[in-house]
Formats: sequence, C-alpha cells, structure tokens
Amino acid sequence: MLTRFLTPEDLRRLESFEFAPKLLAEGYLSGQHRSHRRGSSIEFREYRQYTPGDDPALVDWRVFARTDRHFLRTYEQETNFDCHILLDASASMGFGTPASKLAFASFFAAALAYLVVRQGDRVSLTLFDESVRTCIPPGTTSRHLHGLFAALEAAEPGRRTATGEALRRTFPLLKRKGTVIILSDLLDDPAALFHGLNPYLHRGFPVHLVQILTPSELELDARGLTAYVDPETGTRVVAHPTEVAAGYRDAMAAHIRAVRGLAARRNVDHTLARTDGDLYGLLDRILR
Amino acid sequence: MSFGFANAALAGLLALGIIPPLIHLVARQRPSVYAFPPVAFLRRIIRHSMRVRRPREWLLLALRTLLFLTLILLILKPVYFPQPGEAAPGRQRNVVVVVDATASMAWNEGAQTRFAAACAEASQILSDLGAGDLANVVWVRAEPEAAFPELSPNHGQLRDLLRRAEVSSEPGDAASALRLAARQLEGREGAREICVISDFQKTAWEPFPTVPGDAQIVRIPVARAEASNLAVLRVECEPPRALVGEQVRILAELANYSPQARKTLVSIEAGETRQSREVALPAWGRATASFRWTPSRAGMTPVLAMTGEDGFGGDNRRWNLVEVEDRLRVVLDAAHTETAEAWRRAFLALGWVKVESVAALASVESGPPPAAVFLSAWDGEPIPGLESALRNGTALVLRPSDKLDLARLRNTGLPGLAELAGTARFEPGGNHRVQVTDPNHPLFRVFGQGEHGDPSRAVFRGRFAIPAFPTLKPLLTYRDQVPALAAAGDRFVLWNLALDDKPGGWTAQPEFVMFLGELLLRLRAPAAGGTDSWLVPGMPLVRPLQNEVEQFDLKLAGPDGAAVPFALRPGPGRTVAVSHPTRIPGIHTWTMRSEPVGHAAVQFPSVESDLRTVTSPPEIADGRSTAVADGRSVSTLRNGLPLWPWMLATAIALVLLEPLAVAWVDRPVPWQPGKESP
Repeated sequence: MLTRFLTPEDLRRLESFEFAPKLLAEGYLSGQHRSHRRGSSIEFREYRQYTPGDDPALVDWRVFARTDRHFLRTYEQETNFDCHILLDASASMGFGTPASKLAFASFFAAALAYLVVRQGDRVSLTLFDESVRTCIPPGTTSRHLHGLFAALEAAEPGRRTATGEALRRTFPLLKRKGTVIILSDLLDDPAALFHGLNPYLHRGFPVHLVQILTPSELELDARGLTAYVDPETGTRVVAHPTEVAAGYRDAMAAHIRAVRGLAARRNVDHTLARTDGDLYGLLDRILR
Repeated sequence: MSFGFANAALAGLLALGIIPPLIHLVARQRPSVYAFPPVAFLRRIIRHSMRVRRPREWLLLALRTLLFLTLILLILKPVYFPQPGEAAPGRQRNVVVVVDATASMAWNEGAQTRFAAACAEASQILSDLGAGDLANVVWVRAEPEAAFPELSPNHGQLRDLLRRAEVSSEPGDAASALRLAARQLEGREGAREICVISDFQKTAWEPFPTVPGDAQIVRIPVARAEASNLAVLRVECEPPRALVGEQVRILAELANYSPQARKTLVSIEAGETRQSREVALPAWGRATASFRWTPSRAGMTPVLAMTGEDGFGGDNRRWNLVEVEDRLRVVLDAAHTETAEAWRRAFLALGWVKVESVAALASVESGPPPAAVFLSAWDGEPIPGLESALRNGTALVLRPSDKLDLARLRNTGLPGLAELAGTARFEPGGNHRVQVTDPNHPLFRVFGQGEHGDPSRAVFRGRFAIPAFPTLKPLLTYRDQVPALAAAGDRFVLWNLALDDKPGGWTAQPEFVMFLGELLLRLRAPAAGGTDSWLVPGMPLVRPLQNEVEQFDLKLAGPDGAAVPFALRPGPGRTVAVSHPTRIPGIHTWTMRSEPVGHAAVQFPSVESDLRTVTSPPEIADGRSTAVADGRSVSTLRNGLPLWPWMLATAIALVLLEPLAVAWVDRPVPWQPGKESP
C-alpha cells in the first residue's frame, strides 16, 4: 500500500477521513451513499407530478383518491459510489518547488482514491493535458488502487493545457455517473473549461474543481530582472517582478474570480489550493 | 545661413554620439530565465506597461544622447553664420569701412550724432578684425578719400582716426567713395568686404550706386528715427548790385522737411540791419519771406538769413553778398559829340553816377568793372580794356559812327551781336518822332503811370539808317520802324537817338535824365553777388590774381577766421589761386595786406537738408549686399555667432533634466486589470 505519495503516516491520518458525506452517488450496490434512483429499501424522498412516460406503477393511488391528481412517490436509495478523478498533467503542473503542482495534485488524488476504495466505492483516474493521456476506469479493489497509484507515480508534466478539450474527450469514457473531481491549475480560458464541463453538468455529475496554484503564482517572487518562460508554449516575457507584481496580483485575482464566478453560476464547487497549504485541511474542506 | 566649428579638427568626435545608443542597447541587464506558467498574465501586463514605458525609455535615451552630443558640440565650438558662404574661419579678410561723413550725418540722434554712431560702428568692425586682416577707412565726402593709401593691418591707427574724425558740411559722392573702396580691394587675396555705414539719406543713396568688383557689401544704417528739419534754402537779393540808399529786396526761402506744418521765425542780417518775420511752412513745403533793406555804406555786404535752431543746425543759416556802391561807375568816351555831352550832363545831374574816361578801362583788371561804357563816336578802333570790361559784365551803350563796321562788334564777345554787319549811314535833318515798342518793358515801367512824363515825347533831327537785325530787340522805334533804341541781351544797347540842345530836342525834356538813369540801372551787371551762391563745402575757391603782387600777399580766411590754404596755378592768361576744399559754410574772404579784395559765400548743401532716409537699406541687384543692424552684427556676419554658450546652457539643462527623466521613466505604471483572462 505504501507509495511515493502515501506514507504510513499519511495512511494513519487518512483513517480519520470518510469520503463523500456531501457527495451524491449513483451506484449499483446499496450502500451508505444516497441516490436519486429508485430502488429497494427505499427511503421516501418527495412527491412528483406524473408526466407521460413515468411508470404507472409508481403512482400513489391514495394521493390520487384524495386529490384527483396523479403523483409519483420518489425514494432515495443508498448505493455504491463512483469517483472520477481528472488530473491535469500538463506542463504547467510541473511548476513549483519543492513540490510541484502535479506532485501536490497526485498526492491529493492518491489520498482521495485511497479513501474511496477503503469505503468500497469505485474510483477512476484520468490524466490529461491537451488530450487524455491515461484513463484508468473505475474500480474498487486494492489491485486497482495499486494500478492507480502506479499511474500517479509515473505521471510526468506533459504538453500544453487544453482542459476543456480534455474534458470533452474524457466524458465518453465515464460509463456511470459519479462525482467528478478535477485537479488542475486552471490556467486556461475559463469559458473553454466550463464549455468542456457542459456534458457532465448536463448529465448531473457533481463536479468539484480544485484549482492548485503555487504561492509564486499567486504572488510573484521577489527576483531581479527575469525572463519568464511559459513551459507549455515557450512564450518568453522579460520583466522586473517589482514592476509587474501589483498588476500580476490583480490579474491573477481577476482570473480566479472569473473561474469562481462561472463555477458558482453552474453550481460547481470550486476550491483554491495552495501547494504550500495543508493537504488534510484541503481534504477536510472538500469531504466534509 | 550655415554652421561651422571653431575646433573643426575635432569633428570626428561627433561619431562618439553613437555611444549612448550602443550602451543603451548592449549594456542591458541579462535576465535570469525562469519557467513560469502564467506568462500570459505577465505578457498582458507587460504589453500594457510597455505601451507607456517604451516611449519613456526612448525619451530617456534621446535625452542622454542629446546630452552626449551637446557635450561634444561644446568641445567643437559650433559657430553660426547668418550668411551663406561666410563660414571660413581663419581666412584673411580685407575690409574697407566706408563711413558717411556728409552733412546729413550731423543730425543729432539722441545722445550723439549719426556720424558719431557711424564712427563707433566702424571702430567696432575694426576691433573685431584679426591681427592679420587688412583694413582701411574711406570717408564719403564731396571728394571721397581713404585714411590710408592702401589697406593696412594698423587697425589701431584707424580707430584713432575714427575717434578724432568730425563730420563735414559737405555733400557726398557715394558712388566715388564705393569705387575708391573697390579699388582698395582689387587684387587682394582672401575675403573682401565693403562695410558701408551711413544714414542712407534718400537723396544720396537711392538708387544704391553700382560697386565694381566682387566684394561683399555690408550695409549698416545708423539712422534710427525720422528727422524733422527746417532749412534756409535760398537767399536772393534784388538788385544784386545796389547803390547806397537804394532799396534792396531780400528773399529768403525756407523748406520744411517734416510731415507737420510748422511756424518759425526767419531773420536776416544785412549791414547793421536785422529783421525778423514769422513764416508758416506747410508739411514738406516751402515758404519765402521777403525783406527790404536800404544799404547805407558802400562795399561788399554779406546778407545772412537764418531760422531758429533745431536738431540740425548746419542749414539754418545761409548767406549772400550784395555789392553796395556809393556811385555807379560809367565810362564815357572822349569824343566831343553832342550826344556825349548830353550823356555827361545827364549823368552829372543824376548825382549817383561817377563818370570816368575810357582810360579807366585799362585798369579794369585790378578792380571792379564799370557798370557801363557809353561810346558816342566809336569807329571800331580797339580801346584798351574794353573787351576785358565787357567780359566782366560791363554793359555797352553804343552810338555808331559812319566809319564803324558793325561786324566789329562781334569781337566784343557780347551776346546777340554775331549777325550785325555793314555800316550805319547817318541821315541828318528831319523831325523824327519815336514810339515805345513795348510799354511793359522794365525800362519804361516807371513811366507807365504818366507821373514822370513820356520818354518818347521828343523830336529827333537826324538818325542812322540801321537795318532791323533779328537779334536786336527794339525798345524805341521811329515811326517808319527804324530802330531808335535797340538792345541785344542785357548788356548791349544800340543808341540811334541824336541828342542836341535845340528846342524840342530830347535833352530838353525832363524825362531824358530819368530815362537815362533807368537805362543805367537796368544795365548793371549782377556778377559780383545777389544770386544765391552755388559754392558748397568741399569745393575749392578760385580767384584769378589781379596782379603780380597778389601772389605774395593774398590770403584766404574762412568764416571762422582760420586761414584756408590755397595754391597758385597757371590759368588761362593769368595765375589763379585755388584753395583747398572749403570745409564750413559761410563767407570766405580773400585779403591783400589785411584789406578784403574778394568774398565768396559757401553755402550748406541743400541736398543734405532733406534727412529722409531710404525706408529699408538699399538693395543691390547682384545679391552681394547684406543689411545688418550694427557693427556687432558685422562681426557676427563675419566671424559667426559662437553657439558654445547655448550648448553649455543646454548641457546644464539636460544634466538637470536627466535625473528627473530617470525618475519619471522608473515610476510604476498604473495597472488596470483586464476584463478578460488569458
């Protein structure tokens, strides 16, 4: 079970976490997660007006007798849970010292996968940059978890980012609805990102965006005259950090605000994670 | 307009101007390379800030380059030449300064005269010349003259001459002065300049005289303002040759050279008489004041007309000479004819006539000529001194004789007698009456009112048969148109009136004496004075010596009493004394043993009284001329205007500006967050 990302100390600390209290899942096994799908050992959820196409067997005739209207009873069913981890492995994720954003995201993904599998739920992993590089379908076994860890350990920063495009390509690979957790720096066009999320949101995938940035990206380091080179595009900009720091800070804040704003409008959770921050605190924020 | 460098040898330093841009481009800081994903944000910020910062940096670069170039130029000492072709530092210069010393330059312009200002400008020009430059000064006078025979490096001596120079009362010959200046420059190597310093009086400098040669001409006007001037232009005396007790009419003409009408007091001094009269003068106009004066003493009497003092005093006084005689000298021939006797008696009756014999004509060379010679029986035989007397203005009244060939009258030199020929045949007897041909003739004016009788009221027994010559103008004619009294010009009268003592004859009439007196007064020669003199300062006075003694004792004194030098030169027939050019207006007097023997009135030149200057310095068609404001400008024109003080000031300003510019360039560019993400 030991990997580069999960030490025994990590595992010990992860014991106190439980995955998905605020996430909904659609599983094939009755379990601890609630589902909107009807099933056995159901727990009443709400009445819903009948619409053509609904199963007439679900009509509550007693309500019909009282109101002369057709209502269906809906139930919530505990089911098993699918967690789809989409990890940005583009070149920009390789930035950051001592731990890069990719390392931070990988650790987070490993911890998350461990928690999901430990609870008997299924977890999948997709590594992408401008396209899908690795896709491990959902699984719940230890062997599956090992394969997932191996993929994370083997992950290296790839090419340039095209999150929206990668999400569009990933979507057909997800057979069953589940929670989507996207780990990325989101240094991309927010509009393109949410355009790529459209199919997921349309199908009702709960989506959680974890935007991982280094402190240097949030606030420029105090350096001398620097030639900033984009690792993805090779674009080179020479500037004195002191001259552009304020402007950069404002621009980055504006970008984050833009992402957060779009996420709020689309009912997508957004969490900003600093690579120098506490990973468990982040887990706590997302899982509770 | 051109530029040059005093330290042109260091011009290569200008190439160093490339250094600041090179430093700016080459010595830029090498940035450390840093992989940084959100470059798109930075690029957007940089793009914004560079739009502001790049021009600032270029401005700073330009400022520094300018400072560097200014410092280099400071070393090179740039010189600005207003005129093209003058940029030749180190070239030898040959300069002739033409200074206007004519009378108009005496106008007092503020604290000094125009002439003093001109001399100061000339001195300035000479001071600015280099040690190896050659120069001379040419004075514009009636006879222009150069200070040195040729160009000289002795500028100090020329400046000393300028310091001591005085303005003349002469008119100027600008063309001759410029020709003299051009001759001085002929064959000289190096730059050749003629600097003309003058008031550029319109009457003298318009149009600008042609200047031979290829010298550059620089004109420096010293007239700063229009001058208003009053001048006495002319003094006329009528008659010019008066008798004691005879009334003389004096006309003084004044001119107003100003745009305002003026009133002034004009005075005359003649003998012991002084009279004044107020005269109103229109703008740019003239007026004449008339005075009457009766001389009481014989001799050459100066008549002075003057007006009030103004800023230009030279032309406020003008002189004339009236020759006053106590009696009119008349030469009468010795023939004992009835006519001669009648003349003699009449002259004696007049009282103011002094009758002399023809022998007096022999001494006419040494004294004033007689007013008239009356000949009653001249047969044409030469009379010693007659021709000389006639040449000097004596009139001739001739009663011909049967033996006189009229053609001999040609030898007298009198005008209008060239056509006379043949002899006059006397026809005795008869009772001939005469008539006045022209009652308006001045000779008969006194008889016009009838108070003094009729001069034609007489019977003449006998007459000469004289044909009517076209050049002889009849004054009295017989009824058959035979001329009785005819004149040729102003100084010849042919007398064809037989005078006798018989009853009814003319001599018995009271009108006869009056007529003869009138005739005598009309025949007076104006030679000695009366007319306004044309002599002006700068012209020499000439006097033919009357005898051999004069060459030892003759002296000439100017109006101020100072002796005027003169030289004796052989003239036609006799030696003449020719004075040095006169310098000041006034009465000049020739003396022999302290006795005045001749006078000459030297007048202020009228042409100098009109002080109007050309509106702008006159142009020369060939483009060789330049007009400048003053002598310092000539120095600028020649040596260029040194620009190093400006360079120094610019460099200091740039040095002070540079840190400000640096602070401005380095100040943060305010960032406005973009509306779009990368």
